Amino acid sequence: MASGFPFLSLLTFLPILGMIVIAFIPKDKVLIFRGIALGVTGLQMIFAVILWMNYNGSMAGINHPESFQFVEKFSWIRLSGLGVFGNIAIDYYMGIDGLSVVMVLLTALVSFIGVLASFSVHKQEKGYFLMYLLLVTGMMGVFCALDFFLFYVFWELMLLPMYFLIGIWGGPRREYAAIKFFLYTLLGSVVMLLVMIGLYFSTQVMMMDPATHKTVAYHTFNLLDMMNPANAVPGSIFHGLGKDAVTWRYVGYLGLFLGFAIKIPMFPFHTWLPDAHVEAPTAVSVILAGVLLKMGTYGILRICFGVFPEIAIATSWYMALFGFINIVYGAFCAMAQKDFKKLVAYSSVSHMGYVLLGMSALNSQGITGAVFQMFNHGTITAMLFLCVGVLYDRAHTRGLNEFGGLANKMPKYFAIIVICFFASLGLPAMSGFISEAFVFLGAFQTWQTLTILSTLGIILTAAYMLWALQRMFLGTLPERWNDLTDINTREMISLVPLAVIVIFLGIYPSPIINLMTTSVNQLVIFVHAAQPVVGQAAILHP
Amino acid sequence: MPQQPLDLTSLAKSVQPLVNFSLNNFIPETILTVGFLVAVVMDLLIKDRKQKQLTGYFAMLVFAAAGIAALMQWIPFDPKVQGWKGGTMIFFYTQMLVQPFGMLVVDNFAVFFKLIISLTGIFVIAMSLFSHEVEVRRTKFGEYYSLLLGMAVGMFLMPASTDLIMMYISLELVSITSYILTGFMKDSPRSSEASMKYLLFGAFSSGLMLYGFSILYGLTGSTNIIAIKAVLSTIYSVPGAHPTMALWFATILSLAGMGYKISAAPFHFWTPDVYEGAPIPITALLSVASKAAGFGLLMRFLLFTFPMNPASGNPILNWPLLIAVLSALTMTLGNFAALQQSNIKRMLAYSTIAHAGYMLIGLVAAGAEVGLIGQTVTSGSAGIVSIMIYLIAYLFMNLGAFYIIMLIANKTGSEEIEDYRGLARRVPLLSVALGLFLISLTGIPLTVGFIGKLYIFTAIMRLDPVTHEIKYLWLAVFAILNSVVSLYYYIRVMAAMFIKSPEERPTISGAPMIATDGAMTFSFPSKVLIFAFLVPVLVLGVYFSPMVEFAGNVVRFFNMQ
Repeated sequence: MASGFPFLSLLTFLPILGMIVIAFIPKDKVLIFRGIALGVTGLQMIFAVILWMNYNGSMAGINHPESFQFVEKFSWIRLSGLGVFGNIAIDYYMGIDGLSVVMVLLTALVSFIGVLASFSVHKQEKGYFLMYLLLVTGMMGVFCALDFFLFYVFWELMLLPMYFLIGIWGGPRREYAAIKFFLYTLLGSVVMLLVMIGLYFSTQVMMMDPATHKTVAYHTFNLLDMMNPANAVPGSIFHGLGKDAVTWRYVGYLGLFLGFAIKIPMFPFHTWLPDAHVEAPTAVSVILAGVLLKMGTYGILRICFGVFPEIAIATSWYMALFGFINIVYGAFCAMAQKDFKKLVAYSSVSHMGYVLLGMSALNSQGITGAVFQMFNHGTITAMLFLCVGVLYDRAHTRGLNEFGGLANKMPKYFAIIVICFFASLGLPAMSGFISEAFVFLGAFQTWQTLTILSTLGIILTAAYMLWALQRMFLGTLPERWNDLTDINTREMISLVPLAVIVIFLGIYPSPIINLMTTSVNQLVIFVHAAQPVVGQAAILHP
Repeated sequence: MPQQPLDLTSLAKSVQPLVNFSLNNFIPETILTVGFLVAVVMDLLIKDRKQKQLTGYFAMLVFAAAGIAALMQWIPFDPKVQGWKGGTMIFFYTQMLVQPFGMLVVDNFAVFFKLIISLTGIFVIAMSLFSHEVEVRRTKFGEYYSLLLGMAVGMFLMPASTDLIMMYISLELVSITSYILTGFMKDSPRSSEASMKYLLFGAFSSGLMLYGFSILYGLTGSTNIIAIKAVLSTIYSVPGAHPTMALWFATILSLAGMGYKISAAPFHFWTPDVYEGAPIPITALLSVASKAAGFGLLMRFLLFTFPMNPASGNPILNWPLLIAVLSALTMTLGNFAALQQSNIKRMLAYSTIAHAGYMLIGLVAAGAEVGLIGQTVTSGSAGIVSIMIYLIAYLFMNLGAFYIIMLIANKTGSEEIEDYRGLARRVPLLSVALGLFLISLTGIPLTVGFIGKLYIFTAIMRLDPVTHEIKYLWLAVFAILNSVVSLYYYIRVMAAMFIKSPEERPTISGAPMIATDGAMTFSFPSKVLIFAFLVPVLVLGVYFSPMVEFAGNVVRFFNMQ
């Protein structure tokens, strides 16, 4: 472990450096923009791999500050003596554990692939790459931040670039899709803001006052301090004692959960997703499905479970229920689509349901499956959206029923798409199978009925995937598609590595699973060790 | 006993030190007043039309001098006393009660507002120097700049007043000068209409306020709010019939005048028309300085007129609840009305109404903890601090937004959002800057607007130490939902600038077509001024400790006794 070297800051802020360089280059130098973006994300990926190599899988993290790795901690805001707000401590606190390292790897990978896919953008490229790189910074930051304030800043940092990426470079209804995305996410995050303020008032740690060198109590946004019940301020809103205290903890949990659920997106907050996907350019869809959705589930694992563990246990059945709804409802919606991209978008809703189901199991298998599914969904859906992009760039339509017999016309494309379809429907020897198996394994121990019902999702997924495959690639080729060309080298370069990863992890998932095992176990132990707060017994066992 | 003949000489001698003392603490206002007179004369002396601008530079200098003089009044922390000294009363007028009561007070609270106002004054004059609307009537420059200074005198006095009469006079001084400045472009029917409306609403509201004040005087026999507080707490300390109804009536009437100044619903009706009709620099001035002064007055009046009820431990009037309702009403109305505007100035007018609503949340929070302020000198009020922080944030982002709109209107002559289509390609710098100001107004992190909102929410989310509940959580929820709504109209401007193509612009019947292509050029100084707004918006959004500490010091002095 390379101590002292600011790996995470470098990973997070490299794109900002790229932005600064791009900002000073005249706007017609498209090739240079592409080069810089590719170079920056490529470098990011190299750093991510170095990070992976140096990551110590035996350190748990979760709620132990000392077992986080690559930690950087600097005080950002220290305000003391303002009695009314309490002494304020905000840190620039970055660090990773088993949950985040997987996401960091995924982010670096998908961002790099996304740049390759961005080469098909032919409009205001300068602005595009500026926004794209800003987005990458926001995503990376979210997964590395261990201070709630910092987390929130990164979380919000993504909204604006995403809005513009959909709004400027999107399809015909781009404006509507972009504003819908923005409003939904902002709604979630302002609710999160209120809970964050509540948590801030409820957490207090002793720290040295830089001015007077006396140890005084600071309110803090530090997530790890928030997880420790010993730091709770007696009588504070989320302390869990006193009149209505349990209710407040429920409110806090649900407030955070709402913010994350919109991002996942969990039924019934999912309606922004198909719109955003259909209008977004290919690369943005790749980023959106590949990384952005995971921030919701990551937030639940890190913050909801971490800060309100006993409420997480108490409400886990509902999470499983919504996971089930996501799986089945998403699959049915996907089946009804005539637009290839919308089908993939709804399949995302369905697949994120597995993540919810796995998390709700609250055992090692379930959560491992969930985190692994987050990674796999990231790679598989990125591939699917890239494939959609490949076809759309050539045919300028995505109607499933308008195609047929493409298998003969575009054999290489067909081979790739078969891999991603089968990976997506969970065929053994593909990574999706492993994670879904883990999810079901874990979930079945906790929620038998819901898990059995959820397996319906696998059948439905197979149905809509195979049906789509049949409609587009088998049968006879309509006349109008006679001059379609097969997949080109650039597209191959972006797709093949993902395909290799998908198959490799399907056969040998240990490299990723070993990264997180210790942390996941620690998380499970931590959640189950949480003492039900006073008066909660009645709610837990009605 | 025969009456002693009045010994004028000895009386003058005994009063002399008092007057000197008062005048020594009245330097900022004196500078502004002298500046006002000099500006009038100066304008008469300048014959050359091209030199008329000089009055503007002079006025800017006067504002700067007044600001520095105000800064000298800042009372620093005294480590020896291990505490904070209260403010200084000036212009005593009665010694009937034990303490002398002044017309004005000099404390850090007042100094804060003086600084905000002088800074706004400097910025607004800089804006005026670039403004075409003002430029067209260059012969009237003297009037314009001297009236700005006159208005500033009123605004300096408003937050410093501790006497109902002084409050009324300073408020009227601000109002009357702003009527004239609103109608400055008297050739434009829009401007004249705005001025007329402003006058009518203003006269009505201040009449109501005066009525409220007269009832307060009738109830307590004093016009000084400290004295009123003393009398009221005596009345309420004995059980029995209390004049609560009459007090409510007087308070609500008084709020009419102050609510009108800060354009809080339901006294906001003048705002959109006046903001749309006035020249943009004046709109900016009204939306920031005049609103800040109004807030200063309102806070001083509400927080210090009403004592605690010793029996119940609550303020004798539950005015925080009233303000909470007004706040919810103000922000909702402002935001939803802004959604439907097609003129950006009008939209921002409604948005400033919404922002007044957010700031009122801070006042609610301050009111809910009014007991704390009375008890200990050092404990400030989270509510007041949050308003101060919000005002600093609001100053930069709102002035910045108005400034860019003015620059664009200078070139295109249009304030329609539809005419902003494709602006990003013509003037990237201005579009990005305006975008950032609007983002800041929405309250998204890494801009100062977020810090403002964060502190407002933090103030209202404070737990009641006794009951362990958040009294006004509903208001916080209301506010966050409102900030989501506000995104929709701010983002519309961004969408027009960055997303929509100019070719698809719908033709508005009767409206002249605006040239929607071709680059626009702006002078170097006018670009520099953009950064004067933009840099604080971004820097204070990331590193906000200085701003918060500064605002915190203001409050520790708020206690006047």
